[in-house]
Amino acid sequence: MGEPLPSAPPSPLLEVRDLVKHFPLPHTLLDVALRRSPEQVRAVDGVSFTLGRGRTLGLVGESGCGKSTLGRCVLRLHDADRGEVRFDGVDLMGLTETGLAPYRKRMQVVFQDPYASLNPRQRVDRTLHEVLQVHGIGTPADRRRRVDALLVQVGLSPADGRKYPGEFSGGQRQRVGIARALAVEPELLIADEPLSALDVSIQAQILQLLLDLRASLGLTMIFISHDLRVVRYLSDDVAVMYLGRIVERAPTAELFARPQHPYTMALLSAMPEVGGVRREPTPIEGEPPSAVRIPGGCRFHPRCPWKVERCSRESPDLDELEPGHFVACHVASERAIATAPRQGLPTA
Amino acid sequence: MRAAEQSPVSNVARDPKRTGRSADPEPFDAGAPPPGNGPLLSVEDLRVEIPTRRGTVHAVRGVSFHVRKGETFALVGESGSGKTMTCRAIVRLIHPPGRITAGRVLFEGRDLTQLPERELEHVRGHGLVMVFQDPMTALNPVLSVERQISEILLDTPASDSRRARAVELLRHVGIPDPERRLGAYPHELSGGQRQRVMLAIALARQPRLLLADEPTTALDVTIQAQILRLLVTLQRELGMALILVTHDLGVVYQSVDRVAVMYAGEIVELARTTELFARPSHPYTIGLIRSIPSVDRQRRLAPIPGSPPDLAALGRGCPFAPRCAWVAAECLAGDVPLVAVDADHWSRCLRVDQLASA
Repeated sequence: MGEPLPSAPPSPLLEVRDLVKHFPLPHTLLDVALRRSPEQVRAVDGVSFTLGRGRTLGLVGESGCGKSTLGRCVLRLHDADRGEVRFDGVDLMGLTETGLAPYRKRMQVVFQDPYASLNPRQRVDRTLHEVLQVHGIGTPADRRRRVDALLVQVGLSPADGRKYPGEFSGGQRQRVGIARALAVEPELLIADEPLSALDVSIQAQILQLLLDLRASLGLTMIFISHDLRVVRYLSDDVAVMYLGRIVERAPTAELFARPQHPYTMALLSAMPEVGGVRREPTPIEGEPPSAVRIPGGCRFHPRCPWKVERCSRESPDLDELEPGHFVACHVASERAIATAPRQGLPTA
Repeated sequence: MRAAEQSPVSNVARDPKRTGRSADPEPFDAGAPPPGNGPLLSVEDLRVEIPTRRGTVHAVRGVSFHVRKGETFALVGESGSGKTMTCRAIVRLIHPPGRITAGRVLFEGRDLTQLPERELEHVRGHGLVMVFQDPMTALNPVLSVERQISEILLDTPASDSRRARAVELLRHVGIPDPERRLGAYPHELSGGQRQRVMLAIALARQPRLLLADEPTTALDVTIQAQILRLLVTLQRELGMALILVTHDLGVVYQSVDRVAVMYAGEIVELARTTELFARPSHPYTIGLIRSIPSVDRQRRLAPIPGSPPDLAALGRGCPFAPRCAWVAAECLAGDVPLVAVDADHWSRCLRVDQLASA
């Protein structure tokens, strides 16, 4: 599966190739009796994508699809089992912890629950100061000024620095989480469900803040979310994950207007939209299987309304069916081939 | 307008559909509504207070609405808006020290706030049933699915037919392979399946009103769509009324007939769903709708500034005033009544005439 070379920017900031991360389950008695190795959760099971500078990739999927694990592997918060993570041309997987240090500064993360990622017993100005100190940025006086500026940048006041995380509301805490991530002036920001714990009106505040900061700082972003409405609003490209694999990837407008994979279609039709025609949701049947026992062939086939015999045998590749539009589905690929000669003719 | 002169109760009294005051079950809907479409549930000036160390939290502050037979109604709001507390107060499941301090909840004409515990149990078991956000906490973890459904079916005599009925119920809510699932324990089921079992248990009671408190919030989007579809299908098949408590305006838009928007323990707007989205008539509703990322990416989000007030320390006047773009001096003068904007469309805003121009 080649990348669309002509349209891709000359050097992507991030290139991920065939990334695999499995988590072994604890040994069971049965494992011991059968002398086999324990079963594995195949959280990320062969994922490739590239991300151009200044672009935002939306990574969507349901719980357990591996989107968060993928984000953590890119940051090397998890060590992937196989594959490559190239940041600005350098394979991060081959680096030692020391070698990694300069890259840690260039990529940062905002988590879903800022409460869990901030020290509750430390004033937030201390927390921010510490981040700068660890990365050896500025003199103590510089750092204090920078902390004040950061708080203002995320819509708080320097006086808020003297508070503890518990004194903030959820939305304000997420602002602190964003300030912490931005303290070291990263190029890549991975936002892992940063809005999920927040109320609707506060979500919009944080979303707008992220958009403003992305524009003013020229950030490259991976935005991990289960909320397609938010992803559509802020991503340049969207990758849909199912059971550890990307099943479809396309520019945002294209993906929402012409989804090709049946799972993407199911996600879109399940999205309760405000506006437009009121419609009953048309959900797909069944539930995602466990990532321990991934179905053979296409991993979506047990739930797929389109499945043919081949789908239970053969796992589909992520094919580029149209420029920039990648789909992992036998049926969609065959359709694309069948309709290819008729391109240019009016379609029904 | 002198707001203080007009309490929410007096507004309710102005609504002909809600004037029934008798505790007599039958002739409750004396007035306007067409036959067979009278209120099944009338909530009148409901108040819930929770004493805390910081002072009394006024969680529900004079909530009034009604739900007709077979109607789908949503209580929508953010955390702390009082939507869940209202729902729990209807079935009198408020955790002490919280308590209902005022108001009436008329279900089929009987005031549930005054009913003796035994009779209330009966109503909760048959007339109206509540399902919760997290079915894991509502199901008994050490009993099989069959036991939990059978408990409801005690009036079905033989255990064989109870078993058959349980299978039928599970099939009805879309549990695959129901005969085999009877022996399962809650932890062996997925979140979606647990919610289906909860619905099977609820349906076993053949309720006329189902209260569903964020029934899909803990679920993934495709499963959420399945459960919502199931709820709406069941509601229609059985002709029961549904109160859906949710924070998701998309769900409201797609699935319910009428909606009450709650803020700081009060209903701030009440309307038919299509009407609410077409002509939102309260600044908070407008703000909520504008907070949703739209298809049109050119349109900048217009988040509501600030955060909701502390319900233990509410000042005078409209609780939304500190976040409101339309705020004027009169908004801070006293309590704001719920006023009619249109037929079956109410708003708790003094400046509702100014909103239209926005």
